[in-house]
Amino acid sequence: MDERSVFEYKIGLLAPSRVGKSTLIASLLTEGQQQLAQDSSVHLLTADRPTKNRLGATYNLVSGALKARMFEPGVVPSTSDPSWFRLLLEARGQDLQIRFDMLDYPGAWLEGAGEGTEDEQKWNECEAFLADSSVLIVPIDSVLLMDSGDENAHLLASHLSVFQINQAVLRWAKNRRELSGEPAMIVFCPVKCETYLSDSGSLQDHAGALRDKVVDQFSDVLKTVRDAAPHAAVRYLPIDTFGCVELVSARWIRAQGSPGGKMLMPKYRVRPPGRIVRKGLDDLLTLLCRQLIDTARAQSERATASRQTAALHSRSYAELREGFFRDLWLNFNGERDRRRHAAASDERLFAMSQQTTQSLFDVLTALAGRESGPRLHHLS
Amino acid sequence: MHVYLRTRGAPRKLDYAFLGAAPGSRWWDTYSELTATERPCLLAVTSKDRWRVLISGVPSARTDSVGTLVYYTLVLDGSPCPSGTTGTGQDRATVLALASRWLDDITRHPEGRGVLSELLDSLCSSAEVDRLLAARNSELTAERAELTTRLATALASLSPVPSAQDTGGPSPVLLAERWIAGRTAPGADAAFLARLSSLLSGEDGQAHLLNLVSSAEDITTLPEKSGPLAVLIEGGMVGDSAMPAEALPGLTSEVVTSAPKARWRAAVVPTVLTALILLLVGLALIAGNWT
Repeated sequence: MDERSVFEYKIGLLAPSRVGKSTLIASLLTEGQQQLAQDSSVHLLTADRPTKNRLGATYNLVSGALKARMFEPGVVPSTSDPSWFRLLLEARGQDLQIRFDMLDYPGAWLEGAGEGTEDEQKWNECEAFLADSSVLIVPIDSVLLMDSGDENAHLLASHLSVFQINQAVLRWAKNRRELSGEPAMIVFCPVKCETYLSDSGSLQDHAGALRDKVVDQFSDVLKTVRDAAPHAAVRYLPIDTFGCVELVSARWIRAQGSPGGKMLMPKYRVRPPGRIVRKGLDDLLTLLCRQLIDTARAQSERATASRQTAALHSRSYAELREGFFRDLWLNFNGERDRRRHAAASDERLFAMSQQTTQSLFDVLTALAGRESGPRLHHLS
Repeated sequence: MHVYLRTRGAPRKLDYAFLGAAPGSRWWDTYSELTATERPCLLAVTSKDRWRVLISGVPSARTDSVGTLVYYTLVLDGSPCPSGTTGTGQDRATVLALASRWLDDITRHPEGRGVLSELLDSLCSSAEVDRLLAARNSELTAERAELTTRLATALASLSPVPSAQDTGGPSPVLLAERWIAGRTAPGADAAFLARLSSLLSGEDGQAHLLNLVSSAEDITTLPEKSGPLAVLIEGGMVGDSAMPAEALPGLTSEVVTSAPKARWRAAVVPTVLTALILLLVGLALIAGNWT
């Protein structure tokens, strides 16, 4: 933390290929800016031009396809090389910023990036980023969970990459345990949920079944978090990727290289009038804001405590009486003034730190006032 | 010249990977802030007698498991003047033809579908791509090698796009050592190919077609390398593909050494140091004589 109170955190996404990591990142950040614009406590900015340009490109791609009535759920191409998104969460009227980085990467690397290759080295960097993240988001393909059919239920765990996700979560949880003074959170986010939840226009409500299936399939991952990082908050939040599409059919076809030699091919249709209305993103954004600000507050409180100790020590040292002749000498050679100057500087830093902590607390209080939607659940 | 081809298969597990051997380094990661390999782009760098070219975002007709169109990435590298070989002239012609076809494909179709897409799709069926990607790198080596040979032959058969008859003549800025321009700015593509030709002949420098860049301000994060620089703005999703050409400032290090004060220092400092060393040696000799 520097004197301008910039806090930096990482948010990791953990999912295999084609689940929708890139779309989730882009929609979270672009729509997050719009949603937070109505909020009086914080606002979201891109931290650099590459992030701004990358988000602009994805936004233009999706909205352009929609306006041309050529919209398809898979409109965002899959990722072949890692890329970073850097965002700033600014508290309105306060001189403090929270920067958070998100990493997008080829999902198949989760299952092995080719032993001894350059891709493997790059994946090691991505793994380190994920393990070091304050918040871990696990996007899950809800169509795979809900429409795979009983006869293919045995293939689900490998299609969802549950084992690989569990390994990555274990590393993250161990890291978080070592930093048990810091808040930690993992969010299970089924995506492409438009067809299963009635609040997004679907005629059927399978909210309970979807949640049960997530808990069932990811029970080992949940256990890993509970065992390795019991202090971590575990949340469940289904998200509509586009809001205006729904599943028409999902059928398994033969596919070499896929678990069980099969893959699920979903077909969607656009619901008129074809306007994107994503549900669940606002809750995810509020969760992230609260978590990051809470983490920053905890960090700021620690910094305040250590600066208070330093300020008290400096002041008592500056005013220490060391005998008549020694005190005369300290006044004469300017040492006393130097000590008082250092003490004043430490006290100023302490006051700034106190102010930062108070500001973060105020923002957190304001965010706590935002009501969570009915989709958000605690998983324990 | 080495040629590498990357694409993905239909099943979700068969993510983007090289069908044959992979390049020795992921050198294009350096440019990840400036271009997305998912969309049409071209990177070309020559440094230390080695050129490297990446062409990415070439759309295929194939789709993946969620219906998204798949794309190709081509990576090529070679040496301008390798000792004992005679094939470099052909390599240069092949890469130039490839680059001119790619620029033409992007101009004709916003997504870049064209000659190059058809050529790459004709090399390898969807089933063959899935089979190669599903196998371990150490398996199917003969088939991978055969595909690479077919790829190299197909690329060598490409003919360059005939240059358009320019009515006006290119902007003088495009003759500068470092410039940025929209892809469709008058004369920009020809100047870009001319710069690429120099790079392939062994001149150190860079020539890029970038898709996450909208102005000169965006390329401040471009890795500083000696030699000329040509940047084309792709303009499909970010930036204006018709942006007029703009000269770019020289490298920071070059600016410093070309400043009068720096030049003066560069000349005086070694002279003073040499004089000091000579003086010390002289003093040591004199002291030796006295004792």
